[in-house]
This record gives sequence, C-alpha cells and structure tokens, in this order.
Amino acid sequence: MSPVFEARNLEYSYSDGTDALRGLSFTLGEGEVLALAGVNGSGKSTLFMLLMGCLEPSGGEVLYNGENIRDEVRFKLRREVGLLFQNPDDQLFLPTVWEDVAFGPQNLGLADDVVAERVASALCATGMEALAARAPWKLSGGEKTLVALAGLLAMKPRALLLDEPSAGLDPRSRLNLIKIIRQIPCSIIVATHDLDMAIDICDRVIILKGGIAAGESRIPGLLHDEAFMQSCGLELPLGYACMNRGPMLKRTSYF
Amino acid sequence: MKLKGLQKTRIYTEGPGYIFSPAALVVITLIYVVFVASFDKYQVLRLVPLAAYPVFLAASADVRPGAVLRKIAAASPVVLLIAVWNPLFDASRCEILGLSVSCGWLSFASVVFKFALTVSATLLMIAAAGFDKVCGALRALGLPDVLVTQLFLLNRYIRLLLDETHNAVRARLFRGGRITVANAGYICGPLLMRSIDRSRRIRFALACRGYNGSLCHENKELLSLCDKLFVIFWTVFFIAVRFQDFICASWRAILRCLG
Repeated sequence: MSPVFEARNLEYSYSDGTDALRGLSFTLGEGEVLALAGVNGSGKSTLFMLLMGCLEPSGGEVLYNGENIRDEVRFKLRREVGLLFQNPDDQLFLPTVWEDVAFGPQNLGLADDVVAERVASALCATGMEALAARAPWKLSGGEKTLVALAGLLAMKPRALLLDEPSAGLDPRSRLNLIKIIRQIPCSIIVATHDLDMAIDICDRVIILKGGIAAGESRIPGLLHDEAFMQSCGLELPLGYACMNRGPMLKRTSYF
Repeated sequence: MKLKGLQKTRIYTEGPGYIFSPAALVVITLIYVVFVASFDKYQVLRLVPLAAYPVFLAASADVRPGAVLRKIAAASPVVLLIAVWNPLFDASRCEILGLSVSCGWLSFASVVFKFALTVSATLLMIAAAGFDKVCGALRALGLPDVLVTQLFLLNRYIRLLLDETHNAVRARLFRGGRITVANAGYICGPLLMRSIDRSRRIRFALACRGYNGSLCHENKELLSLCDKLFVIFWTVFFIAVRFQDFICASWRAILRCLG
C-alpha cells in the first residue's frame, strides 16, 4: 500500500534565492502521526505548502497516494487532506463559525442536511458548538484554532497537516487541543516547536535543519539526545530537561 | 481607535433577520435607484417624497439615522466636488413655488439629494439584510457567480486591509512616531506588501478546503407573498411619485386653503 505522502529529494528556493528545502525525503504512512521539529525558518510551513500543491518544488517530487501532485491529483488531495494554518485568522474567512466550518463540506458538493450534520459533528468534536453563530474574528486565539480545526474535520480528511497548532495557546487550551488531536483517526503531520506535545501525540519525529532532515527516529528517540538537539537549535522537551538537569529553578536566598 | 470603527461595514446591530427577504430588498432598491436617477436635474422638490423609502428602511431595520448620515458624510466630498461646478456654469434662473432661484444651485441640490437618497437606501439595504445575504440574493437573481464572488471577497478584504492598517498605525504610534503626509509612504508601502501577503495566504487557505471559485453557497431565495407585496407597494409608490407632482399639488392646496 502506498504511503499517504512521500517526499523525494524535495527542494524549494524562494524568489530571492534563499533555499528553504534542500533535498528532503520522508514518508507518512496510513494512520501515522509524524512530528516535524525545527527552528524558525527551517522550512516546515513551506513543506506544508508543497505537500498541498500550493507551491511548486524547485527539485524533487511529492507523491500523494503514490501519485505525483499534478492538477487532477491536487484537486483530489485538497478534498482529502486538511491543512491547519499557523495563523487561524488566515483560515477563518466567513461571517460566522457555522458557515466557515461548512465551507469545506459545501465545496465537496454535499447535500445541505449532510453539511449540517458534518458541521454539528465537527463542532461537537472540538467543543465549539456554542460558538456556531459567532463571528470568527471575535473569538480568542484558542477558540480560533479549534474552529479552524473543526473546519478541517468537517471534511472527514484522510490526513491532516497541522502547522504549529499549539502556538500562542494557554496551557489549558493546549491540553484541550492535544486531547482532541489524539482522538482524530487519520494520518497527521504536526510541525511544532512544542516537543512535549510531539511526545504526547506523535509516533515518529523528523528534525529539520537548514532545509534537510538532520535526524529521524521513533518517539522519543532523538528528542532526549541533548547534544543532537542543541546542534539543531532545539531544546530538550521539558520532561527530559528536568530529568537531566534537576529542578529548572532553585530557590536562593536573597540575603 | 477611530480607524477600528471603520471595520464595521455593517451599520447595524446583529439581531434577528429582516422581515423581508434580501432578494426583495435588492430588487426594490434597484428600482428605487433607477427612479431617483430618472428625475430631471431641476426637479429637486419632486424628489422629497422618495425619502420615504430610506426612512421606512431605517425604521423597520432599527438603524440609527446618525450612523447612516455619518457614512453619507464620509462619501460626500467626491459628490460635492462634482456638483459644486453647476452653479458656476449654469447661471440661468427658474421659478419654484413662486420663488425665482438659480438653476445652477438647483441642479447642485439635485445632485447632492439624489446622492443622499441612493446611498442611504443602499446602505440601509445592506444594514437590513447583511452584506453576505445581499450577495446571495444577487446570485439568486442571476448575477454571474464570478461577479458575486468578487463582491463578497472585496467586502472581506476591506476588513483585512483595515486590520493591517490599524496594526501598522498603532505600531508606529506606540513607538512615539507620528503619521504625517511626508511619512505616509513608509506606512502605505509595507501595508500594501503585508496585505498582498495576507490575501495570498487566505487564498491558499481557501484552496486547501476545496475552493473552486465560488464563495456564495446561499440557497436561491425566492420571493414570498409578503415580499412580492412589499415590492409591488413600493413600486406603485415610486411610479406615483414619478408621474405626479405631489409637492406642487400640496403647495397649491395649502395656498387655496389660505385663501
């Protein structure tokens, strides 16, 4: 069976000549949850744009379901794969939460009653039912992220690409998001700096550095290798950092 | 903060839907605009009864008149700039209700009054129905999808542009900067680039959820009996006002009563 996504020697350069990706290869299996970790500017968001067919690679190729992403595959891909943007404001565009969540299913050409049922179920899965009539831009950051996620779940995706889903969330919203993501039954790639979240929800991790995969392992694997993580510009997850270093803060006398 | 207020493209308080369908409002407002525009440039007084329609809309949609007047005032400089030339180029005189007045000033008043009537009716239509529902109604009335989507996106992008403007201005002011004509370019340039970048990301987000060029998924709304009666009533009223000079007739009746 073909993997959901396969990237082969993927390369991408911005118009100013900066290399975002330089020969990245990986696969995402059916039902697998993969973490992409890397410092800012390591190419995580660009990779998602390439996977969704929004950008054309400068070199290499992306296969979805074993097929190269061309126009007809791209159309199918966007109906089956959901991308959660780093800034939910980019994703929430319609006048009410209900309409925004319904946008995807309506584009799938579903009947009105099926759309309504999918919206209700997606809002219920994310705990956002009470906000259905609200304007998306009036929501808090955490609520916006969950509504954007509901918009993807309503399409019953085969795979999800989550770009920094826990960025800017308070601890409780973050925990709530982790619980919700854990229950989603599809293949997921999570681009994140939140390595604790990666440990909680992912099966495998790829560490990106300078546009290539500097390392790849099962979870936790590389995530507790302090020297390697520091060479990639990353910190150990909080749990490992505490184990290695003892308490992070020591009470000292001021006098 | 004043800038933030512009974001409210609806004048409007959110509440229960308007009693008449958006399609009925669109149809009757279009008819209204045509009737207002059809009057001769010197027939200012005959336009007065047509103010009944915006007054009715404002009252029935519970929109504060002050809010509408502010919006009209914001758009008025362009019209005033155009109309102000009329008194200069049209020096002839005519008689209205027994008074001799300058035709130039009469046509100036006519342009401004027509502008106020049509703009207020349009604003109130959007206030009553909501912009998105107006788009849906236009689609239901047969306007091509591509035009409706453009209109819909335009309304959305205005909000984004205002958001970006607000952020850029605030960032400058909070660091002790001032906005002057001389440095406006330093704000407008980055603002344009940021807006383009933001709209690009939004387009990607829409495409990633299967967007195929049409944003309006509103069901086609048919006119109910109540809507039809609403349209017929106002159309008959507009026709009556167009072909009957009620102001002159009233004036003559008043003069007769006064002996």
